[in-house]
Amino acid sequence: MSRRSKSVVISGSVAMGAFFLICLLPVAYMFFATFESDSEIGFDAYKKVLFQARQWTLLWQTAVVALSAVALSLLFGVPFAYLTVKSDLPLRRFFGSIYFIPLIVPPYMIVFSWDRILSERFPLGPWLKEMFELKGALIGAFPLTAASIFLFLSYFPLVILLTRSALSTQDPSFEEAGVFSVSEKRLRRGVTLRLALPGIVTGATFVFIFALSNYGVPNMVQANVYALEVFYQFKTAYDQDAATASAVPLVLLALIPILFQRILEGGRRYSSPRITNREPRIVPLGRWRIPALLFVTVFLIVTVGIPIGMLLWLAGGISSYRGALDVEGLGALPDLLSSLKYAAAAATVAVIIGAFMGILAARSRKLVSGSIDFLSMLPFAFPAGVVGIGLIRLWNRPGIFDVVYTSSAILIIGFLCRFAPFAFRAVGAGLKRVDPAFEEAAEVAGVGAFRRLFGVSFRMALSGMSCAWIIVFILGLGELGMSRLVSPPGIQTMPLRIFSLIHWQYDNYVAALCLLLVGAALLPLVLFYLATGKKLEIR
Amino acid sequence: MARLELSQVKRKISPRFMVEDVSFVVDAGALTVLLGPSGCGKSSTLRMIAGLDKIDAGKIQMGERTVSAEGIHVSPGERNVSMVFQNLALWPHMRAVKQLRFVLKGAGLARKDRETRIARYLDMVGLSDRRRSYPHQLSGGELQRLALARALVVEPSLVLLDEPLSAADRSLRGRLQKEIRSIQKQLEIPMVYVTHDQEEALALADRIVVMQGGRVEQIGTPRDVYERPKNRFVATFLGSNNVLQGTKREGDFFDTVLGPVVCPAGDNGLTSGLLSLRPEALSVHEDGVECVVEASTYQGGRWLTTVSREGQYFMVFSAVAPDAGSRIRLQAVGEGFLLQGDEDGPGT
Amino acid sequence: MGLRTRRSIVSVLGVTAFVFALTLSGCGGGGEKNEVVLYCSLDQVFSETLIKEFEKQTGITVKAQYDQEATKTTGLVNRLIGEKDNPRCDVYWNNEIVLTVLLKNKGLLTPYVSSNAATIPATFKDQDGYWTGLAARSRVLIYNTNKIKKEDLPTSILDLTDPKWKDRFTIARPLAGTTRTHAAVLFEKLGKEKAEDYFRKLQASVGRGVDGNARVMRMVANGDYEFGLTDTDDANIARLNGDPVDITFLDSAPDQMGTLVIPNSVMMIKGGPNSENAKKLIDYILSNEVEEKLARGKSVQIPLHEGIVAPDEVVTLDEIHAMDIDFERVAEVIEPATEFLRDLFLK
Repeated sequence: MSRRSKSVVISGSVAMGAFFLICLLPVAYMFFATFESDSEIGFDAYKKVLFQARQWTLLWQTAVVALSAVALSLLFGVPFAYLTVKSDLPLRRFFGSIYFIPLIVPPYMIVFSWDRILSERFPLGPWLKEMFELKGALIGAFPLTAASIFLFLSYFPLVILLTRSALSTQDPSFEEAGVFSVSEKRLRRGVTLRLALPGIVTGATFVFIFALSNYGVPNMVQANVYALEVFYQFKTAYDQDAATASAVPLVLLALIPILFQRILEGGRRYSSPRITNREPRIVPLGRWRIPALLFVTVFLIVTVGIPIGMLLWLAGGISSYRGALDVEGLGALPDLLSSLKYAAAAATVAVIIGAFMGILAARSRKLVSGSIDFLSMLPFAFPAGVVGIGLIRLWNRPGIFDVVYTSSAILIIGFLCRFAPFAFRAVGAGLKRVDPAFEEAAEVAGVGAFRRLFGVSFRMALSGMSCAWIIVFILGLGELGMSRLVSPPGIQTMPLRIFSLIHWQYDNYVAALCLLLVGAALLPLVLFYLATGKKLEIR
Repeated sequence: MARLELSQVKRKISPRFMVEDVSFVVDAGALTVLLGPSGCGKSSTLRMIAGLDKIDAGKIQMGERTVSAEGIHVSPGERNVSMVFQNLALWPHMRAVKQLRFVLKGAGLARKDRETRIARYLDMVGLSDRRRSYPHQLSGGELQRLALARALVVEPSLVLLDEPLSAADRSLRGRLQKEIRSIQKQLEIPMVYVTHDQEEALALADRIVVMQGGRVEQIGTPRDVYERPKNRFVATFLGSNNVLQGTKREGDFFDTVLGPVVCPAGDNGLTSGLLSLRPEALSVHEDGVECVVEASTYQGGRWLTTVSREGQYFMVFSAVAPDAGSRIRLQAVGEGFLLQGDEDGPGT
Repeated sequence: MGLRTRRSIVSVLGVTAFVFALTLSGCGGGGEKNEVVLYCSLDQVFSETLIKEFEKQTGITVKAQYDQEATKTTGLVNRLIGEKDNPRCDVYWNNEIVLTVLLKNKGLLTPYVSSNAATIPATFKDQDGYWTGLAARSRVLIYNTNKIKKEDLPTSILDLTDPKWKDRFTIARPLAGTTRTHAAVLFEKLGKEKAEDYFRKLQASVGRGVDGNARVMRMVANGDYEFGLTDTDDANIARLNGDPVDITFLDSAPDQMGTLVIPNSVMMIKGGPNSENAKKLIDYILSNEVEEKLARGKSVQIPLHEGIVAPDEVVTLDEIHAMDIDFERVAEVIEPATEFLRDLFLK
């Protein structure tokens, strides 16, 4: 059914246009360039880099690593989300507002802190070495396992985030309809989690794609995965078409869960129920209260406490922070501010575009709406290197493009290119759940198209929008691969600064900068808390 | 189940609203309707009976068993009740047959018995040929029937229905009411049915519990509450009763602004009070008192006319629509009923 | 289109444009300003202070982008290639040399012979002036002094394939950075067949290899391995850290092939926007002053200018038997070599 007004169609189309220009065009450009070598159309680039036996091994190992990271994220993330939203777990609101911190710490830094934890300075590393009777170093001893675990530790909050969101907006009467004759356990499996499945699958998809395209973590633990193939293709052959071509299998792999998720959500069987403002039904834990509390606490200690604690320990006293902001007389403060500024700008634009695209999708026929959803996820599947080079090739040309390319706008576009799909998903899903009748009520009352959108639909999907904003902001703050390629000369972001220090073993400065980044990411949440006295639970 | 009894049940719903002092009995095999305007506490009461919400004070008993009281809260799963929700809460991911199977699976039935029972109940609500359908493939009426079948299939000792037909159109609603009523009689299963629709209440109920502002206003058979409302609220909420001040003249005669009204008050010593007078108890008559016609609405076969006299408004049925502003004479031909409990009510 | 609709479009565009405008700092504009764009692959911690010094001396604003070969990103060389059709960069300061030759072969460079390059040995300069070398690192064996004695160590890189060293040492995977350069040099020196045979044996001995020279250093310092192949600058970190390590130079006997010395290199980008300032910056980078500072810094870079007095911990060219290398020829073999090594190490 189509219930859209002209202004929704037009503003939605403008937003789609912006999305195509900003997010899709660079990767599309790179992709089409792969078919063209020396002004001839062909598959040379592919012949050169694809279908070697070795690559099948790599792809297989990639799938194993990414799926294991997803499995671990689901194994821990779904119960965590359930316990913090749907049970009477003590302190659940507190737990619900700190679990996402690892998302702010760049994955490389998570391995960095664990690497230090497992060093000889602490008993854990030597103990593990003894247990596995290892002669050499612990890191690199179990490459695929280690890669899976570290990618899980880096990205699991995405599963929790989307599961919590799905659970907390679920109409409690779906459960109440069953409580009279169905056990809580069957109800949880058959109804609650089942209805949250689209959210869970989306979270898993995000983890899968991130795990797929990450090469920093596998490289560090010596796991040979396909992302390294693309990385080394870029890094050693300097044939960018070939490198892009080599990324295609990765993109195809990423498309599988995106498609699956489309199918899952496309069917009306899972069409998300309308937004409810009723609080989630709380299921008493009874005798499981203490074990559950233990599970959540230990999980958070391992995933948040230890890495952050290690960073704090490495950073040491206040002088490190002061020093880090001023290494050898050079300030990192402008870098921090740049990061904050551009990540915030990207998050804002992403939410705006996402809102107009989302409302168009929500008010369109299924086919249109499905296509918009699918397209919006597409750029997500491309590795940072491809995005970066695509941006250079597309935007680095004289004229009006020049203004964008030589300014920080290119960084914002880059962030959007990589992370806007998040905003599109979160905002779009929220808008789909707003009954069009609310807006129609305003329309009948003569409220103008835009006041209607902002006052009614957008307002009602606000929680989804703030969630989207924060996610894009956080991911933008930590972006490295693309920034390295397009950051305009003279402008540096915090991750670029951090990574330039890692090599030189300024552990205390690196840790301090990392913590400053975490602090900066938490800033909007803290401000929100101070301003309203409410804890903003990321749902 | 023998019977359900609520005694002085109380629960704070929000800082400004509480359900209080709610007491009534649902007899075995009876269909009791909780009737009242939106926000009167009827759905909250139903949720407390279901065990979805706890009570702050009072007692709820099912047969000999106390299921809710201070310090006692039997969980919904152990009350042997079931419920149909206002939004029906049909699980979007389950086929019709699966909805029933899902609630029945824990019941400890053999597979064959279970499937037989599911088939029986789907047949009972006329959905045998839609057993493989998902909710989004069913029509409004089918959805409501499915929700009912899902509540019945577990063969509970009490069925709770929370405005299940509020989304249905008038003719569908009438049909479904009949079906519910006949199924209820057939299974002899007690039901508590919440609605804000007085017609629905009158059509369905063995007993009606009228609620307002978190309290029970009146309990009785449909006829009781319709014809002998206890107070102004019940009188006006059920039908378009006229409420007017009367002074006892002699015997059952009361003097009112519309002239003398017969009110079988008995010898209760009242000298004045509020009377309720149904519109059909008023008739146009040349000996009547003169009223000004304000407006008329067509009601199918007759007109409901609003008239005024001495600043008060009254409703009356008439065969033709009198012009607004014209004058007609009215006389009370039917009996009035003396109301109780209102502040401006009976004096001695 | 109704007025209301038009207004709504304008507001969408307006809001979007506004957010962009908010963040656009005044970076746009042509080459009129007194500035120069530098892409720099020498670690920011060392180069940034030098750049500031240049700004102070000349009043020219340096817009810099930093990178490090060891960081796990698709770095500045890719950026230079991507920007080929519309160059943004004036000067590229590479912390190694082979990619420089690659850039030259791709036609991205323009020659500039700085007067300050006169005292740099010819081996470290392009004969056509496309690039000039400075401040070098050397490939060394770092060993844990608690685990092995200096005299027990192999003296030639070719000895590493000896089965007795299996699981006792490590190297970075020869797919990136100076280890890759080192591998390419061996391909050039030994010839394809011998080199391939050598690396097959080496791979059997070390396995996958670790993710960088810094990790080689750390693992040896930790005692995970007895020794490893790394760079002088990484080894110096361990020394400063007080770790029980020391270094030794491979193939340094007169009859051996010599130790690999890899210089930084600086070059001018063809078509860059500020060519005059670019020359000034290159002159500065090639000055004695810069080399001396780099030698005194944490990275203990080996000075290439004659007559620079370096601190004790810095080896100088005349202290070691430096390998004689034709970097042009190394650049020719590096791609097929890497392809071979990728098949070997990345699976």
